[in-house]
Amino acid sequence: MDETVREFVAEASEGIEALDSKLVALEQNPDNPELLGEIFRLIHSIKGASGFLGLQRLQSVAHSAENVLGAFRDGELAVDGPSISAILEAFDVIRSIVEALAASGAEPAGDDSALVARLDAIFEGGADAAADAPPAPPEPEAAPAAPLMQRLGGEATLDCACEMVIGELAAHPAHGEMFAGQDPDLVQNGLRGALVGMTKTPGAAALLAKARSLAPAVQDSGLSAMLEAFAHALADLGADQGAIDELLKADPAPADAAPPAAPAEDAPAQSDSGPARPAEPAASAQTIRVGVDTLEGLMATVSELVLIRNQLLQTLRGEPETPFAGPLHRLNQVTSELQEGVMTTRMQPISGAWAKLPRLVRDLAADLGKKIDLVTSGQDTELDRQVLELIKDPLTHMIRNAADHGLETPEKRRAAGKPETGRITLQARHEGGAIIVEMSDDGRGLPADKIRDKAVASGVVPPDRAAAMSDAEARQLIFMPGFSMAKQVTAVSGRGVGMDVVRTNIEKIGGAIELTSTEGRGTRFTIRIPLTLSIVSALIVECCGERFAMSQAGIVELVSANGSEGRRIEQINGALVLRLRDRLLPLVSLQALLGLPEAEEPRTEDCIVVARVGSFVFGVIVDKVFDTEEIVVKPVASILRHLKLYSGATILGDGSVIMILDFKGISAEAGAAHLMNGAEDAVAEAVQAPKVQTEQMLIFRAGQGAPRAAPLSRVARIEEVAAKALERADGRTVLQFRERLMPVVGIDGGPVAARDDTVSPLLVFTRDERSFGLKVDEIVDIVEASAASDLAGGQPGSAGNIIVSGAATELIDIDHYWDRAYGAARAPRGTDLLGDASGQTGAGGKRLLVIDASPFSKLLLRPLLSQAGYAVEVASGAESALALHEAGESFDLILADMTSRGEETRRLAGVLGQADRWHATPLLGLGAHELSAEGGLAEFAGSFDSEGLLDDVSRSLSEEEAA
Amino acid sequence: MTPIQSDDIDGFVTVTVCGQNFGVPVLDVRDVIDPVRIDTVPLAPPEVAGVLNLRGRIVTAVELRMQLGMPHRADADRHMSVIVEHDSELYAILVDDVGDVLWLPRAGLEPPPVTLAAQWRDLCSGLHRLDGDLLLILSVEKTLALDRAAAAAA
Repeated sequence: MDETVREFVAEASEGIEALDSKLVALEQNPDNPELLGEIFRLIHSIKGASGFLGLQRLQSVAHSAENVLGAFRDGELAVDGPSISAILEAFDVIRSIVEALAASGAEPAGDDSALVARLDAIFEGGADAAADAPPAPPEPEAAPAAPLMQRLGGEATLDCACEMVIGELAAHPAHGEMFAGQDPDLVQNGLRGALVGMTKTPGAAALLAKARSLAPAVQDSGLSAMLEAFAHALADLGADQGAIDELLKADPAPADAAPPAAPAEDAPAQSDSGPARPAEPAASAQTIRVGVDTLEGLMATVSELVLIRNQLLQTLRGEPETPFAGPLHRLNQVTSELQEGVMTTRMQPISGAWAKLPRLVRDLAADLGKKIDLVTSGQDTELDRQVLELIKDPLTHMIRNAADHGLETPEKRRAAGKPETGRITLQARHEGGAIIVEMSDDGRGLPADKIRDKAVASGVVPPDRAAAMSDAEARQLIFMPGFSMAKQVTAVSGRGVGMDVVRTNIEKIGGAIELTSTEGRGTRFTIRIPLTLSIVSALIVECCGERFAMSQAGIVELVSANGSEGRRIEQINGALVLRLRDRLLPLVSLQALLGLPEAEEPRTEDCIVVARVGSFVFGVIVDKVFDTEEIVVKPVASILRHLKLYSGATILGDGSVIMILDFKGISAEAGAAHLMNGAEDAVAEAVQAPKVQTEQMLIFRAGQGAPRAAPLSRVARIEEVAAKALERADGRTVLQFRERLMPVVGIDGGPVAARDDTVSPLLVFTRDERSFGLKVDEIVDIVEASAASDLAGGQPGSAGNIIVSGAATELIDIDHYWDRAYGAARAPRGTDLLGDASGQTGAGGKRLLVIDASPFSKLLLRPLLSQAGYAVEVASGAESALALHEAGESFDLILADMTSRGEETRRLAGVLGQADRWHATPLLGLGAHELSAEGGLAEFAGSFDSEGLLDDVSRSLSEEEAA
Repeated sequence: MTPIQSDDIDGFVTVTVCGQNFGVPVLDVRDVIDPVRIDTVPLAPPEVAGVLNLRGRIVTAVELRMQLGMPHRADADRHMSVIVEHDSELYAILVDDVGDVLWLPRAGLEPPPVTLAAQWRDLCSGLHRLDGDLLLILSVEKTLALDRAAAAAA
């Protein structure tokens, strides 16, 4: 049934019930203007609403009745019996229509012209006409009905009679089972409805049919007993005997199936609604509307009862041998049931929050020129109405986003091979004391690159950070304040108050939101929200003698750090951290945070409550952890509301009041402390993907202290470089590399060039075809570790700390070294300094000549040999080698490809024969090594036996020296 | 307590703080209770003594001595709590002692002397001259206006 109709039915029924007695009072006291006013207002609002809802029957009856009532009120018409009867009848019709409406959702068919005509006649004819013609000449049929009702003593009498009859029948030895198993209210309502109908169309048939429909197994003897009982009851109630006879007169076709449909006017609605769907009138009869205030009050009382129960239970724990144990146990159960019961009264299906979404989607589709299907499931999932109210807005916002940004236009969808109609799916379900709401679309997904660009453009994250993020991390940026994906502000969305507000609102009620997206396939948001806000499961902790509650929802785990199992609290520049499995957990000391005095006796053990806020996981150090308890959350007094560390207060079982700590507030405090240490900004913390993402880390030693780490994905190559090969140029340390000069930096900023024979690893980082080398002492390992730094780095060059095989390891900030290598303004020169280098290097390193026509020698061999400390010259062929000879160059070793095509080799041999100065120079054939011209350097470094080559080179050279 | 409500007579619960008498409008007072356990709230402003449990409702206790810039109460000192409701929240105003309820003609209400310290004047809505004593009328609203001060300080 339509929500508006349902509401109208509820309101109208309430009003009609209340006015029944008032109409009777009006008849006895015709000059009471207040009564008249009330009745007039009700019928007026029914008329208005029915007109609005298109309920024609209702409207016409209400309209005529209103006219008469208006005339009463204005004194144009005297309030007398016949006119009141007509009004009452009008109310009966309205009631029956409303009842039918409640049962079937539609206005029942029927003809009210007689009633309307009578009402109109009363109104037009004024008091005289009505008084002159009580039997209402226009419709002689309807005339006896009103007097019959009156002669019987009104509807109250009928109602009373029904009750008596049902009671009598139940006690009857033979017919006691007649209505057994039926809802008494339902039976009474049905019978009364039939009787009321019969006042207009006299005859027992309607009543019998009703009884038959209510009690299918009924015998004819039962029916006659019932009729008899009715006659008696009515007589007992002082009804006119003639009227009773008329009312219950035998029908020509008694106890037949046909009669129920026969009675005119509103009777069919009554008898139809009963047999067709007996459940629904019962439901409406059993539903009462209760003010929210009443429920809230009840809830508060139950909350107090829960507290008292807790208090008693706590007392009981100390006294195992008490006679109260049994009763208390029952009290415990009953209280829990009561609490649950009251909670359910506050529960509403989530469809309440969804009701407006189909319309919204329809309008959005029209506005945006898209085709959108909204598929919902699990709308019966119930949750606290308070929570319901709070998720309405976020949901609406997300649907807007999905329709506007998520789904493509029909043309684009067709081009992408998807059905033209986009689909937004909304699902709700219970899962472990929480509600999961999933909203997904099958649209274009979130383009990680565009999000990065947008985030950088709007200043949400610095460019280098954005570049370093994985796609999944980058997508989380949409939750950052100030982020908007819309290219332009449309009426629908794109005003920059977006997903961050959604996230904030959801987290405010203790929920969480997660996002997954596949480009081209769609986006899925998963929202987890608590069922209720007023009673939560909480962990009670103690710190410095004070107890606090912490909501279980935010707690990940409890860890003890007493030194055993290798877990102890460590300090980095005053910041407390704990090694916990594969991560470094930042810690917050509750004692410090709350400014509590140090406990007198030193703590023997530290308990750490590991909590999660958004994606930020941290530990809170407390002294003691007690039980978990169901606590009733009470708001903090307004004079304490500025303390963001508390989300509420509660009363414990022993009657003491404790504060509920808010993890969000704690993390904000802790985060602020980080910021003061000059560490990472909150943004970096916030964009960490909610799930811990690991990546390969290169672990190395360099400089002083602990090993350091760099993400392997950003290391382009690892080279072995002799210290001698490093040169000073332009005030920087450089290395010839791929025919370019590559700046080389050390980890601590010290000089990296040295004139000794040490060979160290060099990490080469490349960006935009520019590279720099970071000279390190030793490569330790490559491990899988969390890239998200657990602790902000305090030193320049440090991006934070991660845990690697149980040791805190500094994650280097590559960008910092990049800046050191290239400086702020300097562009790389990229000049081929081949000539210079060969001239300069002669002094220390041996000079090698590589004669090879293939380009890979230049690309691969020279860097390799250069790194080994040799000065390398490459000649692309015999002729250029000869030119070098004639230029007066001399070398310590010549490497030549002696295996290649015969012609070239012969020419080379000839050239070398001519180069008489080089006759003493040893020649190393390259053919012995399986070089692959196709391989890049990386492959080369991996597959090519570079060490063998270098060995050969050095052996050749030393043999030469020895000779 | 005589439940008189009249246009020209006001009732006041008299309380004492460091020897000074104050009157709390009787219509503001929900309850007067004996000392109960007060649980402290870390980081709370100094005027807030803590929170207490009054028959299942949480009541925030405000130390009137601190409000008036008077010396701290020693633990041994007796105190009473005057429970008032403000913005549908319950507060306990901690005082040294609670005396009778006085019904005083409204005409006798005077503005507090201008020489009164600002800290005191801020909390008082007026003054009644009694026989041999002065009764400062405490404004509950002003007494509990801590939140604004605290918010400004935060």
